[in-house]
Amino acid sequence: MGSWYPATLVALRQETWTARTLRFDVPGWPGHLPGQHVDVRLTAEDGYVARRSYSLSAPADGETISMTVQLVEDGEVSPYLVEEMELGDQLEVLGPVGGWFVWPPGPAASPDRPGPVLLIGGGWSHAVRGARDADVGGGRSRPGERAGRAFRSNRRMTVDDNTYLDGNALAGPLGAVFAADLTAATGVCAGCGHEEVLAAAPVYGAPMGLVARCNGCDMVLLRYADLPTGQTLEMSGIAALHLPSRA
Amino acid sequence: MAVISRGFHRRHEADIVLPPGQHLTTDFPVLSAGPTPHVSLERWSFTITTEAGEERRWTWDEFLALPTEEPAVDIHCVTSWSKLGTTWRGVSLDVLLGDVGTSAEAAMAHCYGGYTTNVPLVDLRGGKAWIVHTYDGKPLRPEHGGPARLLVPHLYFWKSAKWISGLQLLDHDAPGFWESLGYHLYGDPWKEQRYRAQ
Repeated sequence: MGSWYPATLVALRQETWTARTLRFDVPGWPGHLPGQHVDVRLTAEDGYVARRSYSLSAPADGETISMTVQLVEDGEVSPYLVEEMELGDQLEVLGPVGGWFVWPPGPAASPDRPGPVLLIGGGWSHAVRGARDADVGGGRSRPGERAGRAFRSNRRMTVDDNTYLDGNALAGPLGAVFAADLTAATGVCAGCGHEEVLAAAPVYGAPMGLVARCNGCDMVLLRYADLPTGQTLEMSGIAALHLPSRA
Repeated sequence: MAVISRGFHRRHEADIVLPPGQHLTTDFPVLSAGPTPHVSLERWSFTITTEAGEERRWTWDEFLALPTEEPAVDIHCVTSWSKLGTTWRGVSLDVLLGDVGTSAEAAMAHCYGGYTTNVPLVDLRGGKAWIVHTYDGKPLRPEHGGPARLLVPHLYFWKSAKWISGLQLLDHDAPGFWESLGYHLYGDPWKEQRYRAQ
């Protein structure tokens, strides 16, 4: 068993509306294997202590570790990690913990070392980001290239700006309205004439609704709300929409 | 030596009565309909425009010279979190509307960045609404609406428009940014007026 290390939050990245990745500097961190986790200890100013376990969500990288945390709305620790904690804030970590299911990195060498594993889940936007960050693949598929380009071209995507998502967040909700995948469509901004695939537009307003804005002038391109009383889509900010033909 | 996690607290939920469908948070989640505008105090102004088109405008210095209040209020977001005992400092709308001649029924709040929301004028009077510039003893941070935001805590928090630039007084109520997408025109959290009937 390891020992408790002070950890300082050095980077944040919003992954979904309700999950984010936190990267910590942990002086003295001994490194870890894929599959291991940490225990996290939070101490309030009044001395109250909470302890939780979280998976490590990135390979060992010197003395930094990453955890990706999903918000549990009436929880105690996850709302702090997902919504409250700021760069420079601290907690303590114990670890690395767990050796029952680990996956040594590197090429296949023996039945005990079967080579790299790639996990694929629904929602390729996150998968491509994760794969690129983990340096295990370049996103060769067409959607992958589109997602990668969307992120690189987005001038506002910085680690400390967690107020919006990228346009890929529109794919699922708008799929409920349109048969075609609108995020692949090119929209022309009614305000400034800027042309761009919808997937590259910054999307604000979650979870009240989705507000896609122009990368050129910040004007609202479209607004969408999915409420118990009905769905509303307003697109007066898009002068024209071009849908590519299906290959 | 213990490492303190700034801002972390034990959750106390017992014996607290919240509006229906709400849960307690000690955090202050950020929800914005657009990028955070950065408004310089030299260029900032707050303008009340009457239904007759008359304007009353305050610069930042003029605004700061007005008498202030320190409301301590509970706030309720339509996305279901409530935050209790938030403390603010700002100017009561009773002061700002005091010498404005109007018989308007409603007000549309306008903001830097283009956001709008509608509130009946009667809900902005009588010690129920403020333009605030300080939260928890510190200047209101841009992501929470600084330099100044509307605070109407008896309605869902989307009515408390961030980055406010003015109020347009209207003869009749009209839907603002979220209201026109199906959210309730009034938004009383105790009556759970989240959405408009279609």
